[in-house]
Amino acid sequence: MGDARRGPRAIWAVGGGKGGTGKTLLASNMAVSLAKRGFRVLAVDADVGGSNLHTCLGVERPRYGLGSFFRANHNDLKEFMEDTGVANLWMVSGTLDFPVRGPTTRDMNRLRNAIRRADFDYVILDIGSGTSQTTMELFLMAGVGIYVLVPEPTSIENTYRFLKEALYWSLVKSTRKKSVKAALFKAFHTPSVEEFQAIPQFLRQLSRTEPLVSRFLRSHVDSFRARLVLNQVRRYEDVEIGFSVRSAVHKYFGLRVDYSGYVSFDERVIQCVRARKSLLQTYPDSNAAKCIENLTQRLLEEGQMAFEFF
Amino acid sequence: MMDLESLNPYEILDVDPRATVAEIKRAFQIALKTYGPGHMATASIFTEEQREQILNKVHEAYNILMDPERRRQWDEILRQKGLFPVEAEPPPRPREDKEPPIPLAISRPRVLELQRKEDPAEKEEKDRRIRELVEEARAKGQWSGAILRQAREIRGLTIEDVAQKTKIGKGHIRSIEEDSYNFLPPDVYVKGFITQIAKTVGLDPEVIVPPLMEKVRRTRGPK
Repeated sequence: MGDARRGPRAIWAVGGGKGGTGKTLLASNMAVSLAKRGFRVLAVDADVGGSNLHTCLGVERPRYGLGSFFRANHNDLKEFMEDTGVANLWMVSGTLDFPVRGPTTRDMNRLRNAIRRADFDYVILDIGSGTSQTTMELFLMAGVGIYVLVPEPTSIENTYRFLKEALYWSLVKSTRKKSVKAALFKAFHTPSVEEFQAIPQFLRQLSRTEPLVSRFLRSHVDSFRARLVLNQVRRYEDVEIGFSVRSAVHKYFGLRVDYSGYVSFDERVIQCVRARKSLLQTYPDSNAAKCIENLTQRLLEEGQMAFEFF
Repeated sequence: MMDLESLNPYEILDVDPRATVAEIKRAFQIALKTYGPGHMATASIFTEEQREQILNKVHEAYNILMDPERRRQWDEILRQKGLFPVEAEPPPRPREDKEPPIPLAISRPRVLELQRKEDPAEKEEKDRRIRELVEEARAKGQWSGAILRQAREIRGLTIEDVAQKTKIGKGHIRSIEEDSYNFLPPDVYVKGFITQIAKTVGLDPEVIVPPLMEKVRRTRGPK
């Protein structure tokens, strides 16, 4: 391509602490939504070992996967991508070769570099569940980090854990000072939740001994931006949960997160997974599909949910 | 947990300093639930005592913001500290261009969008998108309340805005947009509602009302 620009316009990472909250659903359909708007999109299934993004995009038997990428000795993701049947949308499957050997640190570094250099408008990453360091690094490399939760206590609890972990890694990685790393560890590693000190207080304390580092970390915290998406919304009260979680995150961590949107619960979602097609292609008029279109639009505009009135 | 004393009333209620009174009331309702006993968003991270402390602050912040004079004083303090948000830039106008849209880094509160004088080019673009909606519905022969919602969203109006202008209940507007006619009054009223809403969001009632009423009658059947 004769394009002077290298690398995607933006990387969107879709994560969620708990399995089954709809990360893959969201990643695949947002990718379709972006492709429909005329962007060139690459969806990467970085949920290594638990991959099924290809299934949601109608790719039945991916020829390649990250397994092939990890074994190969060149870093061009284009060599490993599959057509999806949706114009402008390609994908890299997360399947590994048999027998499965987990990706090494070097493998993941290569993957992240390849993603940064991918020649597309948007790269969408399905980063899978959990809060392992690998997952966090993928989440943090994205300009747009999206966290999917459902209106259930377990999922909400995981949201806080995930955000704490993500924030911790983002701060620890930003400094080389051992003393600061130790202070961060101490601040985040509190035995009970009530002892956890919000970030602004921690930074204020740190500024007494390390004013420069403290200021630097503050700018880092200010630029940390996670976007919450509430999935499986069944009634209006559920929509409110997003506002509640956003507020609680702020009161607890002193951290601002966006509430970017919600997706209503839809039986047809399950039918789509069974039919191995994306929701946006199969039922573009369903509520869930419209929610995802709105959400994508809002993410493109960096907007947030507005209060609705009853 | 955050030091609650360091937060201003807007931060306590989690609203933008430019929020309308209606938005503040809504935020207050949500905060009462959020920091009430046993809410799933707060149960795992706050002790009962912390939750009570926040709840007290929520009431305090609401009282301040509902009092125009006290709210003005706070706004002044925030302005002096440079914490009051300044007017954002005009909304992003990507879509339909040859070049794909470029994501913008500024989120615009809806409130301002309404107060601002709309520039003609922007209005033209909105009209064009709404005409497209109508054409599409006509081409497919599929008419539904969704077209009212889509047109409303293109205009940047909330259901609340439409309710204020038309004096139609928010629940009715929502029901019409969602094609759930069961709890709506008899057809002649519904016809009036659809006409009003269509005018407010800039759709031609003569085009919209007949097919939608046809749908209402088909869905509800003869009484």
